[in-house]
Amino acid sequence: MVQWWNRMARVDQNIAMSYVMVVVLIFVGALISVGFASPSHLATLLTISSFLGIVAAGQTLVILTGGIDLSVPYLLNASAVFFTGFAARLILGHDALDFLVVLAISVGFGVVNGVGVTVFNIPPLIMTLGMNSVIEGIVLVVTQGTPQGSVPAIASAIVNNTVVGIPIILVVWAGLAVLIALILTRTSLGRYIYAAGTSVKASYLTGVPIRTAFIAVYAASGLFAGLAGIFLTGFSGNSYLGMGNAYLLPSIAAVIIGGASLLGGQGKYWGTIAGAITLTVLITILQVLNISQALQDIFYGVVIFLALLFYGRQANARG
Amino acid sequence: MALLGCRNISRSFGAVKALTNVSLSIEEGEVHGLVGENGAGKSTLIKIMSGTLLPTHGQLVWKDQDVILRSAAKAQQLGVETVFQELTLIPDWTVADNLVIARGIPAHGRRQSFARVYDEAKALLARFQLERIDPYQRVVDLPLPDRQMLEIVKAISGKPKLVILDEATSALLEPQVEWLFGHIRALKAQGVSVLFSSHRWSEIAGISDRISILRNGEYVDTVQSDSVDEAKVTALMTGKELNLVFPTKVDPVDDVRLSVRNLRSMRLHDISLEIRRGEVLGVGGLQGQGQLELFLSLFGALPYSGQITVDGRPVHIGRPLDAINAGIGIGLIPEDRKTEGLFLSRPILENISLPKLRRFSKDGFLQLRKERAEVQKAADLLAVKAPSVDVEVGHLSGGNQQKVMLSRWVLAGADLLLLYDVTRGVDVGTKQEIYQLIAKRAQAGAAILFYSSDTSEVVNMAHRVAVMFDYRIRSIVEGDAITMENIVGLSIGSQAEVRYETSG
Repeated sequence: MVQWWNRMARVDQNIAMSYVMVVVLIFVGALISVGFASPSHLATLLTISSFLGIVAAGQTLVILTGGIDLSVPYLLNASAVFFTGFAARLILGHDALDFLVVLAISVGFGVVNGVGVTVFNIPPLIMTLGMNSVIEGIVLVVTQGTPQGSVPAIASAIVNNTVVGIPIILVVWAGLAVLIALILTRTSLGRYIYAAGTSVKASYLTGVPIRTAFIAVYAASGLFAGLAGIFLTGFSGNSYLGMGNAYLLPSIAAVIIGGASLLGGQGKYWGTIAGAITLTVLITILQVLNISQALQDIFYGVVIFLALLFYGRQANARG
Repeated sequence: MALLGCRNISRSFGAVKALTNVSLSIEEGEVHGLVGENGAGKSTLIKIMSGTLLPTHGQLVWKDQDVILRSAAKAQQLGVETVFQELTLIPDWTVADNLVIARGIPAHGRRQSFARVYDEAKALLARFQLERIDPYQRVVDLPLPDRQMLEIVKAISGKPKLVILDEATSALLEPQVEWLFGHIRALKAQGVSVLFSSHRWSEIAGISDRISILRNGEYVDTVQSDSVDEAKVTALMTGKELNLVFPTKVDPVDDVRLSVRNLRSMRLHDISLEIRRGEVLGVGGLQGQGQLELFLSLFGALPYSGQITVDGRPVHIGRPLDAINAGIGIGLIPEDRKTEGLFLSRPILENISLPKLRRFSKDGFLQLRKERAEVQKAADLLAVKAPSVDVEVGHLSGGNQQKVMLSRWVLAGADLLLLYDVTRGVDVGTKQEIYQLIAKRAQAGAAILFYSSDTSEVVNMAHRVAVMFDYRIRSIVEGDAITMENIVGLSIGSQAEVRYETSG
């Protein structure tokens, strides 16, 4: 057992740990509250996790290159607001078309992030923080402060309907997870992402198309935040200003708890999925215990510290 | 009595063992030579003895007392003065400031007037027969040999008990080396000990009483200098007989693979050269004479102007991607493989296939089985020693890492290899393997540009040697003219003398 564990790569150890954490937390939840681990409640927990999980998918790719995307709150918010707005005014007149146009806009924002980071050499922290502010401004101008419209049937259907008893959004999430895993392990782009995240200098001298890789991950982050925004309208039944704010820190935390290195080059999306579920279950337990929002926030922060501390230790022990 | 001794000194940097269990002692009033190949641990040992590096294990002993040298200042208090490979003079200060003020502000705290500093410096320079150097001149304006001499003056002008000279002669010309030896003999007459490291056997043999040999971070032996010759010491340094080290040179084919005309960059002047298929073109010269810039420019990593022709076709190489692709087929082994070449936390497989992933792509996806098979073939060809290609490159030894780099370019089909100090930090056994591999690549039709900080490698590997000085190619040496003396002479020789006279 010990030998088998030691043979695993560090990243895989971290991912295994984060899944152990998920199971432990659900067990704790079940002790505290009857029905916490019932199939229907688990499905609800996973559905709530899926929004974070999808936002964090983009964040994972960005962090794998050694960057960070702080613009996810308004990437998400913009797509939600545009989606309901388009539906209300029937600008395009077709839900599926709206869906694609909104995603294209989100990807466009992401591309701007990528170009800023890689062509103009603006540090990701600054670029995406600035971009968050810019998109917020755009959203304010477009909505004039009050988002309008209704949630198209397509969004509510994805969140609320099921196929063979499984919520459609979980099927979508699983599909995305497989897609990301394929991209990371089976495509040149995946190799370039890991290479750029490990060493930009070595990547350059090995002929890795660094710019393409960087723009691709920020565009993907735009895409995933946009998707999450659309799905979230289906879940909450409307769109409102600030609906993405709750996803900034958790999207990064999910990646870290999932065992990826903030320095880049190390990590897998499977870990992030566990991270997203861990955080959602944790928050739910705190809510079940009726702990105040202030204490919840503190607890949340401490969990992130602990995750970083724990994984950091391991890295040192190895290095 | 032993002045400074090392008892079982070891030093590691992370997983790398730079020194293992070294014990030797320097007697009072002796000149002690220290020799070893690059990466043998000389510099590490010298840093430990001079207080700039603490050993991981082991003990320094000063006059039979255990000491811990926590800083260079502590070592200087004891009387240990060191001249390092890297110059420590402050470039923007004047000669006088560097010589006098840098020695410390006087204890009585009196302000030092300009005139006093100047007079003191002038007197000091006179004592060392360097009257021609103006104390008011800024150090940055002096030629390299003068700076090196000032460094030496600074170290031995105090009242040292032990002077450590780490490759102090590498930048000096013949008469200046004689000047230094004169002062070393004077120090010896006063009972001062000297530890002297150099790559040149003639210097070591000429001045040392005893010689200690390091190999791969381990202490080999200490011998009386009059009891050995170069072959014996080289054998001790390499662990092999002298004449077994390098592969025999095979004549190159006539096809010119790469031709460079009037290449200029920010600092390079008018570089023209050509490399034929099967040829190893050596690059010689002192370190930092533009070799690195030349390699990076040819690989597209530095902007250049001038004409580059590959297989008779004019090309422009704007970035490394161009150099690797489009039928140009250049591969670079960079100066620092760990940060510039390899992805240490990624497996061997990914490291090798990275520049040529397109070859394994089909319908947007990588054909992993095909990739693995071809990577394995390349790794086998280059004799990479690892349990499997899934091992992280960071877990391999330096030599194996370099073989991974070579495998990468073999797989990419790069048959124009730019090898920048490819054996740096590589153990002796693997070095020999790498020599053979390079020779084999050349015989298979590759054109190779070969720079090494170890001139003997350039001499023994290259069909022709381009000696660089001050960002130009000073001379291209061929055939029997490729000797250690010629290359070293051209590296620092006559023209340097002219320069040095005019600016001195």
